[in-house]
Amino acid sequence: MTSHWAPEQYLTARQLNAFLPRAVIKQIREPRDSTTTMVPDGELRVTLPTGQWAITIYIVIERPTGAGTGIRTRWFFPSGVTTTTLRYARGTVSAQSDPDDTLARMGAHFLTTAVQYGSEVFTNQVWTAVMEHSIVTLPAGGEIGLAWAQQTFSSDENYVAPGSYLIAEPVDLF
Amino acid sequence: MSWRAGQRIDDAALNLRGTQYVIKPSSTDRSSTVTPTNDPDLSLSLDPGLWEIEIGIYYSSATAAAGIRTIWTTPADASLVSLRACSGPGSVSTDRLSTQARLIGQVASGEVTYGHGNGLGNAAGATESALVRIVTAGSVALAWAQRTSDVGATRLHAGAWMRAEWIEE
Repeated sequence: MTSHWAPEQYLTARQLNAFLPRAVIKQIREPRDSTTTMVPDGELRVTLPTGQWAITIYIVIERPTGAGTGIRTRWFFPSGVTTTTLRYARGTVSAQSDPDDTLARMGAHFLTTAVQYGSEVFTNQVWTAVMEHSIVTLPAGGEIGLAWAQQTFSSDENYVAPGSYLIAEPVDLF
Repeated sequence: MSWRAGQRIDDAALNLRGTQYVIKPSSTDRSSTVTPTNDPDLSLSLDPGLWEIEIGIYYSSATAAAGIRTIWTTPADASLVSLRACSGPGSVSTDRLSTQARLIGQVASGEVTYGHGNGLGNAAGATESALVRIVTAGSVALAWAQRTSDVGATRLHAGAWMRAEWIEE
């Protein structure tokens, strides 16, 4: 049994809040073109206090037109971060072109490994949605989140869409 | 409903409502077996109540045939309130980065097989989750063996994890 609370400990708002999950919901349709160099997303990031955190990121991918073929991702994090699990990446294969009927990638990777997801051209309100998860230890807290770029270099934009979200759940706060 | 009017708020009640985690500290290798036995690490001791349990299974196998098979073990009087929702690579998958998916509902003792063909070290991932009613306090564990018996090992990787979230009494 994980024990966050000790006998006779004072119930404070600070302590109660500390154990609640943090959520970030993406508001802006963020475009990237002509780049395969992964840089942090503008919104899918969270600043966390010291501790061990289970982080899940749901990424909605949009590919409006043309030859852009989806995205590649990695995570960015403060120095000193260690992973206590691998980073699970479940989504479309790199070459997929139909989110309704596709082969899947179900690999477990390091935080910094480039993971590539394919996406079909966006039509009829159908996006591609993928999930990544890892449990990380932040010895001194800091900002952690998703970095991404195009899967393959193209002047046609790729997007991470609004409605993508990140959830961080505390596993252990030291 | 998690809290009752007039209930005493103490450390035991608060800790019960905190999510329970266990994270596998080191990898376990098994070979030449198709009889699932409890993993030495992926087990949680749970108090009575309704729990949502989820397991992240990161695994690899030396040969494509070996793969992994899983079941859950629970206290004798515990019961799955839901089916066990399992998602992972198809049983004959040989490529974790391009595989048909296995998306299946199973009972606790139903063996679920996942494939792997990328050699020891390049882990694939599967997740399983279910609602479990614990009557007498005890342990819920992941038990596993190879999909097909093989002298080449199947590995459950360090960092595989299990979480339990208390729902109600």
